[in-house]
Formats: sequence, structure tokens, C-alpha cells
Amino acid sequence: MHIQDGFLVGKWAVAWYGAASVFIAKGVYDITWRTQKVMAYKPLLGLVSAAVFFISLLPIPVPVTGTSSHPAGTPVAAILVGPFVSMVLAVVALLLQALFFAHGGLSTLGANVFSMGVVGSLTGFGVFWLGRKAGLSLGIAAFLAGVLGDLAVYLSTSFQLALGMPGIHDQSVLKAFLTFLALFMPTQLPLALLEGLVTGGMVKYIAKVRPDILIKLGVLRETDEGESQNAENQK
Amino acid sequence: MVKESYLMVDALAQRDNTFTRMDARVKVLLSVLALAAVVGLPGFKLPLFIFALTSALILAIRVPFKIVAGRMLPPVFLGIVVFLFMALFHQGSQVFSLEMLGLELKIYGEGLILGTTVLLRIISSVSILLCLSLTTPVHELGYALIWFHIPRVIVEILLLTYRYLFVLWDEGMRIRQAQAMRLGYPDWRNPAGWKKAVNSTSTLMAMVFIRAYDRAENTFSAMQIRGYNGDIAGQRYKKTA
Amino acid sequence: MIIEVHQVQYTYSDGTKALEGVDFEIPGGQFTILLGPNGSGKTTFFKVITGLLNPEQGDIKIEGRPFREFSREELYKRIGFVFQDPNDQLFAPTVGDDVAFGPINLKLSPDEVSNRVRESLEMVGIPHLINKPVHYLSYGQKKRAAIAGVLAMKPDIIILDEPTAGLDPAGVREIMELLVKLNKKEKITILMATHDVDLVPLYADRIFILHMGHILLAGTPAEVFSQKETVRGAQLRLPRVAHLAEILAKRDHMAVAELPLTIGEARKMILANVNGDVNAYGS
Repeated sequence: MHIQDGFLVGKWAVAWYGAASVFIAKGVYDITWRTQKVMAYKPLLGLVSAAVFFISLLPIPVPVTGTSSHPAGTPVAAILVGPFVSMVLAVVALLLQALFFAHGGLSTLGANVFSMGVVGSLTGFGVFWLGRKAGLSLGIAAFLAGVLGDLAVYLSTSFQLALGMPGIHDQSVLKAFLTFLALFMPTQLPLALLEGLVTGGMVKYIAKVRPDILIKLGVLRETDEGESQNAENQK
Repeated sequence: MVKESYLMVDALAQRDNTFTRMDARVKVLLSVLALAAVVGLPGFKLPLFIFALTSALILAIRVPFKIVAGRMLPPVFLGIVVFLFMALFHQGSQVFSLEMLGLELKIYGEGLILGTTVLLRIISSVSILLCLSLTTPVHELGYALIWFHIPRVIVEILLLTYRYLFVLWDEGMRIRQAQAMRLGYPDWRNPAGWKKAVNSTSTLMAMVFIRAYDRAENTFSAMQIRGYNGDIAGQRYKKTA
Repeated sequence: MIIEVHQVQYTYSDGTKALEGVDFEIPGGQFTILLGPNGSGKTTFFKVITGLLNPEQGDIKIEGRPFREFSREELYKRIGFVFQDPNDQLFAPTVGDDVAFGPINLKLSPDEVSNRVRESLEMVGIPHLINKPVHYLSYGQKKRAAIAGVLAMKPDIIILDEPTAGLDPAGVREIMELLVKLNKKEKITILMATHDVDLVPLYADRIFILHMGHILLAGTPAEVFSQKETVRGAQLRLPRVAHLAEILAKRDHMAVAELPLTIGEARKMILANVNGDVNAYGS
């Protein structure tokens, strides 16, 4: 869910750019630092970024209605490459979407990066990490990361819309926020559930057929015997 | 659908015309300035003017109508929703304290103007980006962004994403067809069919990711063979001695 | 010897033994084909001799100098490696940018970089595609662009992994002719892998058969293909014309002094038989 170009008033467009850039700077720093140690990191991120972007373009089936929707991909990216790097991937994806599909835009890029990239990544990664700490299985933790990550994006986007809507008066921000929440609820709630399902399914499948990738990316530890063992058995 | 839009826009940017020949840095600068003006300045005359300008450009470089419509209609539709919403919202928020019919009408008018402004802002900013993307190949854009001091890392990942999306897309679609031929995507209006389709989708996503991961290893080797030192984007705009 | 390999072993982290003591050497300037079935270790071998993988055992010398004496830059100015899938190799958005990648990393001046890009693209016959985004290229064009990217490093040796895989017959011929041209005109040592045995006698000065991590046979095409049973044991076969001659000799008692490997040789053999002048060929 992206804010369309032209919707936010100038000062909010700039403010969100500023807020997002702090986090992006951290992501850029992390990538640069890691590339100096492991030169393979940059091409790896390029390919992961392409894969996540591809994933975000795939139609996922919405139940009952027979229609389809598109996942954000941010939660799974955050799980696989960490929250800050995944924010940088979100910048790339949002820029390409703005250019090729007129989704989102340039003036709202800061706001969209903040909600989808920053909030989505932090929530997705945080939920996954907490879930794993609490002893949840890989699939369940990733499922929750997908659901809550998407919900967080939906909440923050509604908030941004309410704040940045032209001609709004301060006292009605809350009301506008609730209105936006209600307006997007019918599409965003099922989408969050679907994001959770595909995120969980995807991570589980990778753990099953290629646990080595998850170990290398630091998602699984070598000592996570149960997970790899299960994978072996299911082969 | 998605793929066609991507490919068509990309292909149109590869054509040779006055605007594609223009320096990408100039186009980026103009687009950003135009966007800033549209979003930052009050009133709806400027957005209208810029929309007229960009429309003329789009006509001049002969973009198929289907592409323009495909790209413009969803945002325009959204803009119309926003427009209605604003008119209603303004009326609704004020009606609480107001009882006089005359005043209510005046506020409705305010919402109307605001709604029109936002609608025009949306339309003209979409058309600005449309002009940029229809005249500037992504790699040109990337090199321009580096010149404007956007962090190299971001642009390098952008260029790799752009390059490999085409490759992964073809691979992904082959997997999807193979799944579909073995009934991986049944009618998902019933629960069992839906479950299967979600399963197939997440498997497809995982497979594409795994292939991307493995490909990255080879790509890195290919870079090493040619002396890769951590820098991918090269040296565009460096003047020759 | 431009490449000398002695007792090289390589085992993947999952325990797969890919190379089990490979001995291999080629003189400079030759056109060598490494013949092996799928999974024989061809790609691993190439990655080892290009320094992409470190063998756990064995010595490799390039131009008489041990491998470890070379810096990466020195090494890749001598050896170029073309991957089987050109999509792995062409990571830059346009052909020109991709070919320029190596020269830029060699820290050449911008003028020299653009010269090398132009030269390399001309050598492979696609100078007009310089500004084309890679995804608009045909598969054959991608292969050429990948070769150009390596040529721009001006290597003495080019190693190609299955350069003809996935190409139609015309595409195969074009790529092979390009390689012959690079070998004869530019004096670049060519080492390529394939499992297409019919290609071998047409182009190779020398061939090696790699099977299950060992070099099974080495020599000129005639020498190697004379060991019929060993070749067949390695999941390979003789060239079609050689097989035909074998059948003609066995079933139809045609006089076959030396197994023909190419159409031309087969023609001579058959003409000699038809004219009854068996001794006129092969000598």
C-alpha cells in the first residue's frame, strides 16, 4: 500500500524523506561495511533485491473472491537480510515501482520508504526475532512477521495519509486516521494474512530444501538441529 | 499485465528521439523541480499547466495510448476517490458545528477546490514520472543518480535489480507454468483450491529466491574474473582527459 | 606449457569429490577441448584453474609460475573465463557497461577503456549493440557479449564453459568460428568444455576427456578417439562419422585404415573404397 504521488503536502513529503533517510543511511553504511569484508555481498544483495521485487509483483490468491493481490515482500526481506539492509531494498523496489507502474511516486518516496521500508522491516524482523526467541517454529515466526509487518505498514500509511492530507486541521487528524483505517481495512486485512502465509510458506520451504542458505544468511543457526533435521527427513 | 507494463515502458525508453537523447541528469533535475512545484506550491493552475506540458511531450514522442491509459488510469481513479472523499470529508467534519445551509454550501465549495487541487497534483505528478520513465532508460537514470550523490550502493543494487528482474521473471514464469500444468493453481474460490494456490505461490517464491541466491555466487565469480574490487557501477560522466 | 596442473583435488563442502587428482597441461597457442559428460567436474576444474575455487591439494602453474605467486590482477590479465550461462556473467545494465567493467577495474584511462570496449565488441562482431540493455539481446548475442567482456581484459588464455550449450546449429558454428578466429588471429590460447563430441575433431588441436574427476584420456582427437571403448565408458561416444565408418568396416567390410573423424575424412575414405584405391587416403 503506497501513497500516491501528489497526495502529500510539501512539508510532509520532505519530513518523511528526512525521517527515512536516517534509517537508510544506517542500511547503506551496513552494506558498505560488509562489502569491504565480503565482496560477494553486493552482488548477493542485487540478486536478493531482484528476487524480492519479483515476489512483490506476483499475484497471490485472495480467498472467496477469486481475485488476487500483491505482497509487499518487506517482511521476508527483513527476515532474510536484516531490517536495515531490507530498507535499502525497499528504496530500490519503490523507485522501480514508481517508474514502471506509477505505484507510489517520487514526492511520496520518503513517506513510502518510511512506512513500507522502515516500519515494515523493523516490525517484520522484530516479530520474527521475538518469535524465534520465544521458541516458535521458523514457519510460525515468519507467518507472524508477515502478518504484523503488513499491519504495521497499513497503520503507518494511514497515519501518514491523515497527517499529510492537504487542508487538514490538527483536530481532525485522529478522525482522518480512523477514516483511512476504515477505508483500507477491507483490502489490507486479508492482504496481511496472505503476506503472513506466503512469508511463512516461503521461509519454511527454503529451510526444507536449502537450509544452508538460511544458515549462511544467519536466519538459522547451525545448531538449530531440529529445523535442519526435519528438512532432511522430509527430503 | 505487470510484465507488459514493465517491458513496454522500458522498450519505449530505448527509442531514439529528442527527449531520449537529452542528458539524463537534466531530465532528473527537471522532473524533481516540476514535482516540487506541483506538490509544494498552492493552487491548481500550476499542476494543470505542467500536466498540459507533459501531455504534449507524451503526444510528441508518440507513446501508444494503451500505455498512457494503463499508467494514468489507476492513479486518476484514486485521485477521483480522494476528490470525492475530500469534498465529503470537509462537509462532514464541519457539519457538526454548523446548521446554516448557506455556510454548509460554502464549505462544500472549499472541499471542491481542495479536491480538485489534489486530483490535479496526482495526475500531473504521475505524468511527470511517466515522461521521465518513457524517455530515460533505467541505467541512464542510475548513473545520473550517482552524479547527484545518491549513495552508490543504492544505485548499484537498483541496477542489479533491474538487470536480474528480467532473468528471474523468465525463470519464475517457467516454474509457474510448470506448476499450473500440474494443477498448482486450481480455482481458489473454494478453500481447498485456495490453500493449494497459496502453497504453490510460496513454493514459487522460495524457488525463485533460491535460484537468485545461487546465481549470485556465479555472478560474483564472473565479477572476480574481471578484477572486481567492490565497485560495480563504473565511471559514467567522468570526462576523458 | 602455458597451464600445468598436477594432482589437483577438490571436494565440495557437502562431501562431493569433484576432482580426484587431475593432471593436465596445455602448451600456449593451442585450441584445446575438455570433453566430459555432465557432472564430470568440468566446471569445477575450470573454477580451480581460474582461481575461483581453491583446491585442497595439487599444484597449478600458469606460464611456468606457481599459482600463488600471482596477484588476482596479474592472474586475470592472463586468464579469462566465460561462464556457461551468459546471464551469470552479464550483470551490468548495458553491453558496453558490462564490457567496460574489467578495463575499469584495471584502472585504465577512460579513453583506453572505451577503446578496449569497442575493440572487443568488434572482435566478437557486435559493435552495434554497445548501448543495448542486456535483456534485449538474443542468447547468442549474450554469449558474444560475455566473451567480449573477457576479451577486454586482453588475456592470453580464454577458458569457456560449454560455450555452445543452448545454441542452434548456426549459432554453434558462429561461436566456434569466432573462437577459432581468436585462436588463430589474436593468438589466444583457447580451452573450452563441451560434451558435443562432433565438434571436437573439427576444431581441437588437443583434447582431454574428464570423467568422474579424473583425466581419462589426452592427446590429439585421432589419438583419443582411437580408444573407442574408453571413450564409450566415459558416457561419451565417437563422432557420428567415426561410428558410421566403424559400422561400414565391421558389417560391410569396407577398408578403414584410420577412423575418420570429420565429414571430409570420411569422404576421402569412402571415395577411396569406391575407387578401389585403399592406400590413397590416410597416408
